[in-house]
Amino acid sequence: MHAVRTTHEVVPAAKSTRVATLGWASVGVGALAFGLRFGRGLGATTGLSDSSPWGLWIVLDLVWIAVASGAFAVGAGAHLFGGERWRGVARAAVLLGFLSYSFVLVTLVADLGLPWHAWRILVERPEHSAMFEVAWCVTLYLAVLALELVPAVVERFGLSRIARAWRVGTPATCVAILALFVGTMSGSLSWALATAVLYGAISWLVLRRERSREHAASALLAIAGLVLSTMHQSSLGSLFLILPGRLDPLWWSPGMPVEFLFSAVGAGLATVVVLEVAACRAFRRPVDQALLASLSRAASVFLALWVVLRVGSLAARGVLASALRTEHAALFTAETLLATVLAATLFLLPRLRPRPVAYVTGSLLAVAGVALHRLDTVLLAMDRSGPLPRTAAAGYAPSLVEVVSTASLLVATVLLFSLLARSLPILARREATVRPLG
Amino acid sequence: MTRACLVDTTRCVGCRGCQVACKEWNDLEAERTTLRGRDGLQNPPSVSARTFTLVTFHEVRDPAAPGGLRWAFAKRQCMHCLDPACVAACPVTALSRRSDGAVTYDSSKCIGCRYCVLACPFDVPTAEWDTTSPRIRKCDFCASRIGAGGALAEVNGAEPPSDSRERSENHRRRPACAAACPTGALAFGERDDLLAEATRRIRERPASYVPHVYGEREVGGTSWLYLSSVPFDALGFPRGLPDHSLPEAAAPAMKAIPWAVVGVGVAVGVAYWFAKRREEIAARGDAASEGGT
Repeated sequence: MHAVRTTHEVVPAAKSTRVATLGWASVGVGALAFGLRFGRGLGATTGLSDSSPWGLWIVLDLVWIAVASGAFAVGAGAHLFGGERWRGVARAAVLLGFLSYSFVLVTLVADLGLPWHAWRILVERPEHSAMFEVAWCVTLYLAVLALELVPAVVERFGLSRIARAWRVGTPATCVAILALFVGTMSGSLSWALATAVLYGAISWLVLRRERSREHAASALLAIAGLVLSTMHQSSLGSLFLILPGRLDPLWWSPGMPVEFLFSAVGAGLATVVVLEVAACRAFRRPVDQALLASLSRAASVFLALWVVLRVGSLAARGVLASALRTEHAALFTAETLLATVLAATLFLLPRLRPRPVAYVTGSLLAVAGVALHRLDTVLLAMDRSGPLPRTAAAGYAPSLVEVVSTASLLVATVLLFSLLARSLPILARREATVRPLG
Repeated sequence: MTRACLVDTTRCVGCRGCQVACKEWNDLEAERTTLRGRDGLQNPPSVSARTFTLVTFHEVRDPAAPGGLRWAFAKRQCMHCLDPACVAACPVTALSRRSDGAVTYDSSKCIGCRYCVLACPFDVPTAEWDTTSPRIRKCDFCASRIGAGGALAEVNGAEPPSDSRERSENHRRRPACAAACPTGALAFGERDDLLAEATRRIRERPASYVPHVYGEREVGGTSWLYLSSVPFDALGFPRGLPDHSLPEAAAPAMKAIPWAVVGVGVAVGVAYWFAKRREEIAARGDAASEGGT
């Protein structure tokens, strides 16, 4: 089979503006909600309290980051491991990732009590704070996502000087970003230099092997994205390592970093399946069935690994039986079933006629399973008995401001994705010979 | 070098002078509360942004007491752990531990992420929810008192009388709560000395004490130590805390970061190289089959 060159196209502008108007109106309402949050403070506008210091916004951030991992997973598959078929959806996944991470930062700013001190993260050096690492890693990764979108912008507007700067400067930028990250985390110049040398060598290897400087730059950004994403997806799990007493034993595990990473990648790839089908429906394009099958297979592998790791970790520590008798066992079972339905669906599929709707349903269930896991980790499986001496617990229910602001950010993501897909070459050109959606 | 405070709950009479002294010293507002029958006269029900310390009331069975029940009191506040989880969690070093043991908070650094609220195994840090710039609040071991030098320079505008010098020094250099306690339930001093004192009390009056000093080893040891006549979970202390500090459980994941970055790089480099070779071999195979006859 020949390697097919992937090219991208700008989707034609939409004819109807009614949906878009409704969408922008809801974004406006969301902006009002944010204004209220800052004008009146967290206590007055959210359901948060000393009993539940983290709520809907943190759950949203965790789920969204997991779901956005499709950007790095598809990028790595497409640019590094020979997955030419995945190149067709790589830019779309990156765009969704860029919008997602940007809005995660917006949500974080709303959730922080004193966000105007956020610059402190750049100058202070805590010894071993998982949250410090997440903040640095997510910010650097957002820069990588922005760089990955440059080719689309450059293609559209013919900015040859920027294109050249991107081609020439990206390898060194990637090496610098990774060296900066390792240097800041370890506080050691030697580690920073070692990282620079290693990734410098990898850059040299990539530049030699790729057919053009542009492909090399994309490959190196994919590598930087893979490394940074592996680090922060797992660090989101590390956040909870310091809470063994507070988190239900079915969720707390010394292997949480790896469990979070695998569940995130599974959810991310499943999201790209949904993204592909949704984009094809919305923009009236033929669906690439084989792409759906390929992505779903990969997603189900990671989700199956996640379930095996979790159950294995519980069994290895000898707590599986007792943990399953606790009050939250039903939630654990629900998460596990949802996450494995995708795999099960696909393994049964050769017997059924393959239809995109089966892939989409399985993927949505898988994402729901991972989302439920994040919700449980932050809220439902967390001990929220209240401040010392734990006898005056306040309940938590998200306030209208929390719900409205969350919904408006999700709507804004869809709107902006559509807008940008119609102004930039994000979606791949599809041949008519590929089987159409039906 | 580590200062500590020994709370002998058998000497506490529940007067709550410590709560009042703490409010006075830290300029904390009163709270509007309601008494809850099950807590006796304990008030407020929990610590908050305006209450750093709290005497909790517990009914315990005692056949020797009239009616078979008596009160046991436990003064609770930040435990000032030797290896605090809140300090390890904080991404901007707003919480830090001084060499004398006081775990202090710098609101100019705090971003308000509330990770410390979750991380603390004793549920101590609370936030100022009713402001638009919510700080984290908790007992700071009267850091400005115990670290301060010497006696007062003047009393009522005049030089202090000579006999008050020593009393003034002792008074000022202890936390406000310890200085206010009328029964000597709160003993402030060096941690090692207080541990020895606690052990001595248990040995001399074994019928009065549970043979355990809470805080000696819990979560790696704390600066606030407790003696009790009843099991500690009857006084509302968290049970099942490990003897190792919580940051010890989380630190390996953080220390592994540089190794992980290097490891992933090597793995990706190798996988990429193999993938590219496979591609080249396939391309050469295609070219040969097309070019051949």
